[in-house]
Amino acid sequence: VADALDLTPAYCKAIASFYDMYRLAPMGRHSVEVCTNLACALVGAQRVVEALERELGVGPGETTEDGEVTFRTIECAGGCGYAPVVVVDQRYREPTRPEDVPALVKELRAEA
Amino acid sequence: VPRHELLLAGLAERDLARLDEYRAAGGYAALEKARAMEPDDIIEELVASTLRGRGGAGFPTGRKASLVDRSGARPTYLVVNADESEPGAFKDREIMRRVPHRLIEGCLITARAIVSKHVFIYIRGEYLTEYEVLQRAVDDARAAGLFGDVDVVVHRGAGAYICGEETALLDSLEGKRGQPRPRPPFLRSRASTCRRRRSTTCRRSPRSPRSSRWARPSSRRSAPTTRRGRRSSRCPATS
Repeated sequence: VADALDLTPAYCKAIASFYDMYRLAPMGRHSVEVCTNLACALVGAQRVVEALERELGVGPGETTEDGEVTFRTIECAGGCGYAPVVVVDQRYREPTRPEDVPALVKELRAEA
Repeated sequence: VPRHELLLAGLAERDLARLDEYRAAGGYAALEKARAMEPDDIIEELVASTLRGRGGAGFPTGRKASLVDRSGARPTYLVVNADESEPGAFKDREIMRRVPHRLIEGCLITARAIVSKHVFIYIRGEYLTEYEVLQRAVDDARAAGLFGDVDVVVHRGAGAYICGEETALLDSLEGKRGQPRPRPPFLRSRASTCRRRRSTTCRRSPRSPRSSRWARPSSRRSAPTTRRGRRSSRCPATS
C-alpha cells in the first residue's frame, strides 16, 4: 500500500492502526460486531456475546475456522435507543437479543 | 415553554428523504430567501434569533458565523460535524436518515452567510446506511441545480471516536490521524473554517423563512433552543 501511495510503510501503519475500520489482519467473509458500551451492556449485550460465542465457536476478536465470520466487540455504534446493537457486514440490526443469534448465524452460514 | 417541532417536522405526512417531497413541504424556500440576502444580513438575522449551537457549549451561532473572515482574501470552508460517537448520543442519525435535505439546506444557507464555496459533512464511518441516504440527497440536490457554485462533499470517517473533536476532525478530513491539536490558534481565526454541528445547521432551515423571533419562547427566560431528546435502551419508567 505504501508503495502504491508513494508513502512510507510507517506512515501507512500509523493511519491504519489509528482507525478502527481498517483491519490489519485477514478477515472472514462476514463481519459480526457487538456493541458492548453502556446502553447495550445494560440490556444484555454480554448475553448476546455469549450466544455468538456458542453459535460461532470463537470468541471476540477471532475468525471462525472456515474463514466465514469474524466476530468482535465494538464501542458505541450510535444505536442506544435500539440496544443491543449488532452490526452485520456494516448493517445495523437493532435490537438483536440473545435468542435472535442462532437464526443470525444460520443466515450467515447459509450464504456461504 | 411552548414546543414546536422543527428538526423532524413533517415526517408524519411525507418521506422527507426525497427531494420532491421535501420541496413540496416547503423545503429549500429558506435557501432561496437566503440567496437573495447579503451574507452580513443573514448573519445579522442569526444573531437576532439568538440561536445557539447544540454541541454542548451553546455558542451563539450568529457570533460564530460572524467570526469567519468573509473578505474573500482566503477561501472559507464549512465543515459539519456528523461524527456522532458519544455513548448515548444517537439523535443526529435520525436527521441524516430522515431529513437529509434539511441538513443540506442548512449547509447551503450557512455557506452563503460565511461566503464559502466548500462544504464538508464528516459522517462517522459506521453510519453506512445514513451515509447512503445523505449522499443520495446530496446528489439529488446537486442534480436539481440547488448548489449553485457551492459544492458539498460527504466524507466518511474510518472509525475513531476522537474525530468528533473539532481539530481532530479536520486532521482526519485531510487524511491524517485524527488527533486533537492544542489551541490557540482557534479554528475560526486561523483557517477561516467554520465548523458546525449538524443539529445546529439543520435547525437553521425551517426557521429562516419566518421572522428571526419566531422560535423564541414566550417566557423570554431562556434563549431559543432545540432539543432532540432520545431515550437510551429501555427505561423502566416508560417501558
